[in-house]
Amino acid sequence: MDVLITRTIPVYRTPEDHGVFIQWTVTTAPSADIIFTLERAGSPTGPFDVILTNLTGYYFFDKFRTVPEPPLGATRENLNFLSLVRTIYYKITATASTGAVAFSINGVKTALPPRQERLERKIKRDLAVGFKFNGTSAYILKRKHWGVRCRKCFDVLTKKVTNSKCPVCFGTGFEGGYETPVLITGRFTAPNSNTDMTPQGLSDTTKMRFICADYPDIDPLDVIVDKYRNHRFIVQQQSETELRRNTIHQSMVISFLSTDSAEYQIPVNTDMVPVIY
Amino acid sequence: MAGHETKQVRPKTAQDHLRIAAGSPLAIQGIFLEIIRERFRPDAGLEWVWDADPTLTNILIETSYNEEIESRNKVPAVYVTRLQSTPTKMAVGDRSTVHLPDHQEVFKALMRIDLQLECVSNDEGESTVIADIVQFMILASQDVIQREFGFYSFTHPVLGQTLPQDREQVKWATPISFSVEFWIHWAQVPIAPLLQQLSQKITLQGRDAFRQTVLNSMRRAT
Repeated sequence: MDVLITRTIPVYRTPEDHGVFIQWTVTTAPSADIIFTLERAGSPTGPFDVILTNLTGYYFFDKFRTVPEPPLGATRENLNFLSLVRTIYYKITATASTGAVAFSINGVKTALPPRQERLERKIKRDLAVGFKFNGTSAYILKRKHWGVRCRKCFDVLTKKVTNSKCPVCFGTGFEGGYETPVLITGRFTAPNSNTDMTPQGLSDTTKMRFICADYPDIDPLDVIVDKYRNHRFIVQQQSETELRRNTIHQSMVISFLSTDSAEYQIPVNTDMVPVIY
Repeated sequence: MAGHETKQVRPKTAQDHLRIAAGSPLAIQGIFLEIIRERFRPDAGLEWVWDADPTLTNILIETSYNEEIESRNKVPAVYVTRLQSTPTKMAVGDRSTVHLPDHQEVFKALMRIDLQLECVSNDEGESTVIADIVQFMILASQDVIQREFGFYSFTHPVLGQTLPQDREQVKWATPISFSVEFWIHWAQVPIAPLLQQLSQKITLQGRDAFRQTVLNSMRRAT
């Protein structure tokens, strides 16, 4: 049994009635009853929040921006379906009464006609081939923008983070701070380093570009971790090349973070054998 | 000399007094570094503890525009900036006293120094919280600071707006501005009266022409 999300479209009707329409299909379905569980996250690797269980249909209109409820004593920042820069990832899990389980994850995006879709795949493949020669493994840490607020340092009244090195939220104001790391391959361009005299003494800035495929969508303030060196960068600008409004690849201006930044405390599995040249 | 009857305007930590005079810019910055570092000592009960080692401290407290700090872009941090120093005229000709026998004149003026403390963090909220702690500490301990560091007066610290700054990532800075005043004293000893008894031997056309030379110093000598 395979399940596949075929459509995720943001729909706006009224301020009270808006959300994301999700549709899915099951192939090689067993002769059994199938129930679905729909989950949602800010990153394709989760952690996912369960929106609804025991779904029997093949579509759903997600307007439940306040789901799930926060734990007792905690405050939740609700999801903004209308945000221009957020990508919401949906996971549909199919469970057959025979016990078979399958799942599919998809971001909210529009579909292309078949001819353009093949062209899109060709361009992306060329990019992937290029990365075999000049690509570097990197983790993408998607910054949280909704969910349970940090109970250690976040002031609910003024919505301010009061500890930039909070071990719970890493200065983001959300528990955990970042979604589960996503391992991708991309290309770091040669850095441009500056040392300027500022009121805070000498300030070092090292900026470069990071080029990667369209998935997952990277937004400003996300963190990129060089897998082999554990250098961490913050995304400052993001630009895309598109084919009929569908993203082909992304190019980011990234800034090397100071090694005492809170972002270096985010747990990422960089426990690997370094490459020996 | 800068200060009042009992204390000079200089920090408690030893500085080279030959190079750094009391009341001079580095002495003033040193005083406020000491005071703020004391507020963030380990037993102060605050979340941020200052340590002299920049790799161990979790709040950096330094002078601004300093190229000798090896810890780059570290936050949270408090930076002490000395702005303009202005001597204020408090008496006619700044004169305080005159000692007639050697005609030593003593002068004094009130030196006003504007200071700015900048509280920097990666988060606006944290920058504001640290700035509030520093502002209230300066406000609440003005009397003690005046007494212990030789100041004459102290304006109330003004907390400014928290604004972003573009560094390797966006930093937030909250300024705290205030002024300190202290008396400065200096003296002039005219050297001409000391030379009044100098003698001169002049030979004129083969004859000695001895004269007691009297220098007319500032129209006071005879």
